[in-house]
Amino acid sequence: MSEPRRSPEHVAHARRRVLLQDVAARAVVTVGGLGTIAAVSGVFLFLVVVVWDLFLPARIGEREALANPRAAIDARIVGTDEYVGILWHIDEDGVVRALAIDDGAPLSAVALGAEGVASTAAVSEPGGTACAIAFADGQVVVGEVGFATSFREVGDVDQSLRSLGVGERRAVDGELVERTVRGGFRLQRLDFRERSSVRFFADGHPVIALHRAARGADVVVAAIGQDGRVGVRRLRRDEDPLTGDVVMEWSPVAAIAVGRSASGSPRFVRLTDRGTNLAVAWADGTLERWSLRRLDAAELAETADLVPGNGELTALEVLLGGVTLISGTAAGDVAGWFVVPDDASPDGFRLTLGHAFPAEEGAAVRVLASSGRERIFLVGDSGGHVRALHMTSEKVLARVVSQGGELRALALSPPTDRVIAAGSDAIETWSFDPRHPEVSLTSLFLPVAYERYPEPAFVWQSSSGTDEFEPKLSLVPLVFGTIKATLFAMWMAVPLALLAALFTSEFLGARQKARLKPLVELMASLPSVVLGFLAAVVIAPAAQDAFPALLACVWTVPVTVVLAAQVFQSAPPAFVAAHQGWRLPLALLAVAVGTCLGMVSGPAVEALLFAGDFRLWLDGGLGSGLGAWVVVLLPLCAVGVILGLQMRFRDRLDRLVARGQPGWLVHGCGTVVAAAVSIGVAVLVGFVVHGGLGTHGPVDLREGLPIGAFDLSPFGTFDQRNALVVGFVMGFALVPVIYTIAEDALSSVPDHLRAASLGAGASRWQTAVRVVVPAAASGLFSACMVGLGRAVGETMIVLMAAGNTPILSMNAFAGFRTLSANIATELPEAAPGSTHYRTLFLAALVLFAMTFAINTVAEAVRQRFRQRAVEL
Amino acid sequence: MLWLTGAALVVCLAMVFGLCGWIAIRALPSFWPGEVVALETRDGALHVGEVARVEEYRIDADSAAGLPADVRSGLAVDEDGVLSASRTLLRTGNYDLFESHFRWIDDTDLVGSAQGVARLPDEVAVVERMEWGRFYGFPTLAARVEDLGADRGDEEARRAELAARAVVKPPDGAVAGARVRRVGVDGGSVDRFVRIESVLDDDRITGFAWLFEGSSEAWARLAEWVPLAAAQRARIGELREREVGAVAARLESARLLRREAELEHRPSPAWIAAYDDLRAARLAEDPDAAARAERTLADVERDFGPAPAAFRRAIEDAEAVERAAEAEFAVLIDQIAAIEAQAARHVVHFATSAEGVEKSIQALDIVRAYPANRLGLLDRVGIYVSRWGEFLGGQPREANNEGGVFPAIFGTVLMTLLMCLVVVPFGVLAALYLREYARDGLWVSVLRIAVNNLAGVPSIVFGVFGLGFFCYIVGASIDDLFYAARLPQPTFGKGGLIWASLTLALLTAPVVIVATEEALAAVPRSVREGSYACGAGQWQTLRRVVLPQAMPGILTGAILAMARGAGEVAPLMLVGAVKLAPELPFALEPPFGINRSFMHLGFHVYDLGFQSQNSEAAKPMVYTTALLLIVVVVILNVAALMLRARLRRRSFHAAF
Repeated sequence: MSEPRRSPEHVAHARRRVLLQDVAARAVVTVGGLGTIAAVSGVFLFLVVVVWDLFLPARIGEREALANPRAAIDARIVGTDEYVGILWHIDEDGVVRALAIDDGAPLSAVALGAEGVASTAAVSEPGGTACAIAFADGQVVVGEVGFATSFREVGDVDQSLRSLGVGERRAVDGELVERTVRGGFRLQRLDFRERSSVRFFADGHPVIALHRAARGADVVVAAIGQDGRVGVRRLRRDEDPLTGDVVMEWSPVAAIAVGRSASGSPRFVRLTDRGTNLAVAWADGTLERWSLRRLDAAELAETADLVPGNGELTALEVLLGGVTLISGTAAGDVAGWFVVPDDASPDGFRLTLGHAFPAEEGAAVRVLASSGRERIFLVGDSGGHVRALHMTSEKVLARVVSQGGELRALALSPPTDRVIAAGSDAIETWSFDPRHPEVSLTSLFLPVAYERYPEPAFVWQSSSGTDEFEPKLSLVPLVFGTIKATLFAMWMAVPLALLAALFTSEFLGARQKARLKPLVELMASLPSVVLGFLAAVVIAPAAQDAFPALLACVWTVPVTVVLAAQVFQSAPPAFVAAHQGWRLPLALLAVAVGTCLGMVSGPAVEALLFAGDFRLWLDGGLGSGLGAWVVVLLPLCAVGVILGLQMRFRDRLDRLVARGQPGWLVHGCGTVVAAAVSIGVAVLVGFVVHGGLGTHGPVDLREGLPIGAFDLSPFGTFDQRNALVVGFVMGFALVPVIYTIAEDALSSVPDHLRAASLGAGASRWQTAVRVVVPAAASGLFSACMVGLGRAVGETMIVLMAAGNTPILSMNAFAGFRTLSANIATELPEAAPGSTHYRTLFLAALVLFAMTFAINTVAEAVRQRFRQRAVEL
Repeated sequence: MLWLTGAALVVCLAMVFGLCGWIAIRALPSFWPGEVVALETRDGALHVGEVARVEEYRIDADSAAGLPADVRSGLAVDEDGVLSASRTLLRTGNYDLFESHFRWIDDTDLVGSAQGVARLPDEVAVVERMEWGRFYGFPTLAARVEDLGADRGDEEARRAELAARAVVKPPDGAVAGARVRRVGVDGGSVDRFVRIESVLDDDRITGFAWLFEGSSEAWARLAEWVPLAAAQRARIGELREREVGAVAARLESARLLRREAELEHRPSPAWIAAYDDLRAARLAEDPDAAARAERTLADVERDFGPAPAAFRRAIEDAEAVERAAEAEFAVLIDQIAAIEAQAARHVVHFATSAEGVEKSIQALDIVRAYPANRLGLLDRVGIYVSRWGEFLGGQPREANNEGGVFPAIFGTVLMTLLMCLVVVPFGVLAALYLREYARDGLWVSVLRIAVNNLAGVPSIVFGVFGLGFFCYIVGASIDDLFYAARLPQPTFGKGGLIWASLTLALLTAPVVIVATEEALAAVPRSVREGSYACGAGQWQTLRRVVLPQAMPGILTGAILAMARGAGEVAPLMLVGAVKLAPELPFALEPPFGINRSFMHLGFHVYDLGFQSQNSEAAKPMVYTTALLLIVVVVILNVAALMLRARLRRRSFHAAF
């Protein structure tokens, strides 16, 4: 140091600088530190924000009434085009009319029937444009409401149109003109494309109700005549492959002999399942379902009652997909019905009530209309109340009241963004945003009635090829899969890790411990993707033939080790004391011998318990279910038998040894006898449980053990990628996690406790089990909880080795799908902001919540343990 | 019971060693150039390839009865009378000819009683190709093709040139005494390489070739041409890089220039559409269409007003840039074509194991060729080392089944470093706050529990967050603000290196915080008090005394975080790791490539092991990649352990 500067000003300056630095550092560290912690915690908040949107209600806008050019509107059906620019309705006078949806300006009209003949009925496909119209003269017209589109350049149109801005629309000469982005004009004109018309009943009898369904390229039409007769015809479309000419041909009327179970004329006729099922319903709610698999040989499949009691059926419609029937009653009740498999029925199906929507206003349901994109439908009643409902989730999405007089027809625009109601006085529209109608807490976590499922079920099936698919978004199978993976992994990891930790902490010398502990911890750093790869590609194929041998190993390895221990400990005490260090290599040898024994005895086990072929036996094709019970009961019996024998015979054995018998022989024989006896007991108990319990015959675990919707039996059909393999490999990943924390907990038990115990004459084993383990119990518990947390969130191993089938079975030989693997496979393909995307975020949130809860418990227990350890 | 605990520890250890050992055993020999066997089956076919593995299988009695007596008597019989035989999985390569890489050969089908004894053909060559995987064959001929070009000059001139060339000396390096002949080549097509005896009498002849007949000649040429081809491939790769990197970037910048101008001046889309039509018509030299487009443009200008002059200038500039880039592009393409033509002159012709099936391979396509059964130990070691070199430093080929994993290594390392750069400062700040600045109390213990808890949150949850927040919200906002011209093509609004690093930084923050806290706590109070007593402020004490002492602990935390980050795959699947990235995630211009998707070793293992079509051929790569990943992670962990041990020793000394 040259010249120390010590002027008072300088000291003051230095002090100021130091203080300033302190303040600045404090500010930076506080802001940075808290910011970092906040950022990490923000993960949770962000997930909540994304998920929140799922549970927001649907939005519906203000009522907009269209100017009405006609004195009264008597629409039978109503709809819009794809771009929601043109609204069309088919009226009682048999004319289809189009108008601009923006201002209600009329565009054009096309008469569909003969001059002056009124229509008697009209239907269209859900949300679509294909329709069928019946006329008073007995004619039925099948066709499609289409729009002819043409484009014009700027120079080719009237001068007045050129004031239109891009995207603006105007009705001109019956056409809707829209200026395109390119500055040109798109012209749209109503164009009813008639496919065919026919005098439906040969005698020209008028039709009062009809329905149509597409069956491939053909159209099936069913109709009710004025006198109550019901007929079905098929419009066949044949295309000549050479010339490309299309020939349309009507099949003759197939008369359906309805009414055997009801009186009077039927009122509704509906075709479902691509025209293979015909539903004919009467006003009193009686419904006859006819199987139309062969049109010329229709067969009455069943009769059902849609309206129990004295109610009146006032509306019947088909939901998107053509499977579910929607019924509405005079009391205002709405219900969804679909067929489920039933062996007792003549055609193998039975109509069941899937969803019920209770009445709200009590007015009779007048109109039902399904969306063409989602499973949303509209219900309108005689009081003008219109509700938008979602079939699968049973959510009420929106309620509006029509002021346009008596409701005649309802429709949802094709993009489901507008509700249209045609009343007797006016046409009204409401803008509509259903948001995420198929998701609700109940549909996520409770059983849901899905089409064709006999009972409400938990199903995850998110991918959809078409709009007609019913998305099934239940998180329960995924949560179940997560729990299954966790259970199997913990079953393997906990005993191994805790025992190993106990040995490391209590019986290893300091130097050995310093060498071996990091090795086990190294397991933690093995990337899980490598473990997953090994599980899927190496272990699963190798293990598929070795399961009996592996099961045998679970038994032979401990027995061999115990045997080896008995022999070693029975040597002269001086020898034992001198060769303590040999314990580990000897244990290794015993494990190896035990494994070999297990491998060798594998085929014998397979022959005895599993009828010689394990995989066939699992499929239920061979042998009896006794083996399953033995496998399940053996560990329990072993514990019971060993404890029992210990209490009863320990002293006698000791006496034998004292009398000069060689100790290794006595204890060795004791071990072998104990093992044999427990096997015997297990077989015996298994025999009793398998055969005797059953007042309904043998209880075979392979056939499942259903409890609610879950199958809790650990046996069942074999998959190569199964829970045992995952359990083994994931257990491998968990061992170091549990081991490290457990070992720390055991090691931190203060030494004076050990010293006291040893001083009081206890052996080291007694000290370990009776003093150290109880003192560290909460630490051990917390170790297991941390392991549990890891298992819940593990992704790569289950993704690669678990087969990814979202099933609800505990079968150890079948796969499963966990929350984490599901996210990893489906999130990259989910459209941001979609229902699927947000549901996957919800899955992540559930995962987060599960691990957070588990870790918090672990942390709390650990804190308590620390306090106790300090007190000790 | 005591013994059971010991056995548990033994089982744990056995599993660690078993697993690592298994991977090492499968990975290490996979690059070893093995011997090539020839197996002849009774149907007369010869199968040549490397043995992948041999396994036993059961034969049912019916099919055993159909075998010849001598074969049947050779079958192994166990005590239950079940017959078993062995079969060999042979890597036969030649996918382009046989449509499979591997083939099972039953020993019972082999000719002769000496089953299982394979012939080792002396002449067989193993050729690693750029495409179609490995090739096994017998080199018969090497050719240097001199192409005269079909369109050059008239027939007379071509004949004259041929005649002139006929007296050209044999190329340098022709083995003395080798029969060097001059023949023509049909149309220059190498795959349909045909020898034509009469050279000058055939009108179709467009060139000629120097032929080096016989396998020793062919081997000599291979030795000469393969390194040459490697240099040419490198040159072509370099040119392509420039073509893709520079010219494509200029084309892109021209597009961006125009798009930016559009966003700035907002001309009506109708005007742009009409203008584009006009330009297209002019480029196509279609006067009618151009006239029509001009009229439309005029109409549009009347309706929507003309485009701003600045905008017109901007798009004309952009067009100029585009034209220049296209010209440069053409030059580069020509250069590449020239080298390719040059390289395509060297062709080696092979016979294969199948009778009458022959194959010509351009030297350009050959990565490596060696006589598998004639190699000495040193040669084999050389090939082994060179394969490892290619694996570590090369680009992947053949749907990642062959070649190297350099891009994956690069991606992993860069991502981990970036992650470290983010997580270490912030993690240390958080730990400093918790340990040194915050007052102990409920608040701090809540924070501490939260941090510990976050360490246990599944990594996939962080991946979900990264995708939803970083990619779709932060990235999309950056795109809107700075890269609007490139939309709808996302720049940052998709998975990328930076988002992967940030996601993993969040994931590993608790690791760093906990480790740093421990390190800070290990600095004895006495040391601080000494510092305060000397008049130092809090920050001075921290910076000069506490932090240096805690440094090894902080480093340990950083290394542990790196190890965790390098081995983590699940979140990366969501935020940017891809099967095959066209470019390394690094560039010299902003945004420096950090927005690009990248390859990652862990994801590579997942992709190859789980998603690969040709899983048998992919196995060597999966095992070697897995081994590499384990080695990297284990090295990082061991480094952390050693640092921790040193820290403990030091703190022990410091606590006197």
